[in-house]
Amino acid sequence: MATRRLAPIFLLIVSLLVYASFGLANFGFILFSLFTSYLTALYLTNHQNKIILTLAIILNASIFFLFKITPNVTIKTMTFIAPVGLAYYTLQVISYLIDVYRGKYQAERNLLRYGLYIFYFPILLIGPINRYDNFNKALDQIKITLDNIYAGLLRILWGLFKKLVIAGRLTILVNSLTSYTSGGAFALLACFSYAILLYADFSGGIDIVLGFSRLFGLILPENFDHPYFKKNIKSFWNAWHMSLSNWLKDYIYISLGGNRKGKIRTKINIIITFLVSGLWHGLNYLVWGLCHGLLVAFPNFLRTKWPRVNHFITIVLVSLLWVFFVYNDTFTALKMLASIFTTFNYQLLLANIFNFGLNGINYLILIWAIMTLFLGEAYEKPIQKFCHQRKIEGRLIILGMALFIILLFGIYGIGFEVSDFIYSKF
Amino acid sequence: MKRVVKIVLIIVGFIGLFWFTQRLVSPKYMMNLVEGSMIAEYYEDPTNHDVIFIGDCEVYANISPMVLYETEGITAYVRGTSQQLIWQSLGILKETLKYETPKIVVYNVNAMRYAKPVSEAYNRLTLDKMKWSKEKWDIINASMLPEENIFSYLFPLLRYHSRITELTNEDFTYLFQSKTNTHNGFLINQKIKPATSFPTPRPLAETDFAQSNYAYLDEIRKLCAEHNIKLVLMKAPSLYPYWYPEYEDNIKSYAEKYDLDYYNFIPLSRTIGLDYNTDTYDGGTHLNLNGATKLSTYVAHLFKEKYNLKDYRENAKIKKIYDEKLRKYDEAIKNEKNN
Repeated sequence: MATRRLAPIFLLIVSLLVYASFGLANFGFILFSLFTSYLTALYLTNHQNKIILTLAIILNASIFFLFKITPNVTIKTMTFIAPVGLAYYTLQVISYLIDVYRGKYQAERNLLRYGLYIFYFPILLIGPINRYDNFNKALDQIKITLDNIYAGLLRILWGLFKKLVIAGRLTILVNSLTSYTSGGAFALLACFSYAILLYADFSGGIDIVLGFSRLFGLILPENFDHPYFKKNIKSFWNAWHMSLSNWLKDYIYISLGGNRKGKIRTKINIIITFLVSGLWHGLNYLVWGLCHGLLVAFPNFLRTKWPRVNHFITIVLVSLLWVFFVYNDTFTALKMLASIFTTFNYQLLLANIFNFGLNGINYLILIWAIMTLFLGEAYEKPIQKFCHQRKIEGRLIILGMALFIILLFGIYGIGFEVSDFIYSKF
Repeated sequence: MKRVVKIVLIIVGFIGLFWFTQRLVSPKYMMNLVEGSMIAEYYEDPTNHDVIFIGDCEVYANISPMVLYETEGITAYVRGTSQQLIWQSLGILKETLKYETPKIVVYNVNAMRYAKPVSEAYNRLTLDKMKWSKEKWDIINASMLPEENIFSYLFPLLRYHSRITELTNEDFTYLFQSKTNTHNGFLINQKIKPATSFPTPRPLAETDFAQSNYAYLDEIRKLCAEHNIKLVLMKAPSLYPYWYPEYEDNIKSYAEKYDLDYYNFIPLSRTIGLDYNTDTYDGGTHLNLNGATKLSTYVAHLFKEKYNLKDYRENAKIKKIYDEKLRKYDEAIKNEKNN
């Protein structure tokens, strides 16, 4: 009972301290969002006022869009830098306001609890985007137990394995590949490598967030559900960055009318939703969002009657479209995408394979680690069962071996910023 | 009870695994970058020394204790390391005084020009093989660059884990053994690379040394005084990096103020017999074996005359040890020449 009361306070204090470590200047914007949403929600509980809701959303969203357009905002002599976690807490604030307005739940009166929802530092860095009702329920179930600590540590180590052993090596590889401006095979390998890199980096980060939360018995929603095992783009999006996909579905797609207004409007709504998704990532990702919107709106494009072929096509399409993330500006990305089909420089690629910052042993470690990742996902349930059925001795061996592998084979140290996650820049 | 024993065994097993792996991936400094092994060789030396040299590469490349012994029977050790900064020299001196109290400490003043740590690689060459002590802790904290952290010194696995993909024969051969690469801290180099040009010095932005460096030098001076050790300052002969007249004036003033002996061997090069066409292995920065032998012979006579040091060639026990050292020295010279 005491744990349940004290743990949220402890987590809030830690979160505030971590947030303060990024610079006190960050606090202005997040406190603005915190108080405007807290007070507006309290007002909306008793007054169904759409104008107030819209105003509060516009106020919060405009800060987000302003910093998406320009990372530094200068007003007279003062320059403001995008606050840490802006993309995540803004969506949380908006969902909270709409949910309260829709009467899904009551506004929170306890400012400390609501403050933790906004400030909870692991989420601010990389997600997942929480809903207040889920978070509130999870807070009520906080329980520090040995089982929770073990599960949390295991999840953190799994995340670190993805981040340090796989993503660390793939970052070196992709950075080298993108320096070859001729594209072609280099761009193709960069896209496929990036597909795994982004997944290992992002889902690894989420594992660390979920694992850290689990240490306290705080169970947060999953953000990935084996996305690369899905056989079409729509299923992929139901399994990739699920907290963002669900947010967009609930607050953009459904608000636009969802599938209730005919086939054409449904397709348009899907495309608009994906454009918003692209915009959330940044202006450079609009074309990426449009492409995915079209692929989801027209699901029969390139679909066959063979599930394995569909799976292969899905992986190829998703990987090729990561080109907009691999190359930072849309024009270069389109040029590189075209080069994949026009420049056949595979021999040059093979001749340079050991010039991409990885030696033979590093490639072997990378291949082994990627196989471990996907086999681990394919057999997730039996592996989890095996790990959790162990007694303390077995658990110590599992944790020790995992730590050993990460420390030995991870890419970290001077020149590698481990705390940099790709998705923390959005 | 049985469970507790099992848990303890598992923990001990993992500590062993981590220890072994850390040892495997840590650089051995035996065949490559041997400068990194110098600091530890001192701990194995069986005798005390009347003279201890501290400072950067200008001491371990230029002063041969074997020549000092052979010429005047002086026992000496060079505790120099690559780019040894003055706070590192202070720490190494403090550590040395735990093992012995020499009659003379010679500090090579070249590093007075550096007020900040230069590179992580140099820090590692000085610190990796140093025994753990308060001195090492202090040196690490004073030497770390912003991107470094203390944990990577406490647990070198964190720093060197990536070497697992690039292990060589050296890592396996010297996993549980080591060899001596220096001769009382002197590193033999017989290559010849003549000095073809003389440096054109750029104007100095700051003519005086950093106050923090003077503070460290004060500490060295006081430490020597406390232990009744004579502190001698020297500047080894070199063409690069340029030793500015302003630097010379600073050191001279300091030496005069505290009544210290200071020898700048740059203007004495001709007297010593140094020829930068034959006596340097890198165009004038360091002396080669030829040059070091000439300088060390000069220093041996100078120190004998000035400080009346004991001739240990008359001490049977020391003589036996040094005869063996000299035999190895001559053998190493022959071997290096053949290679």
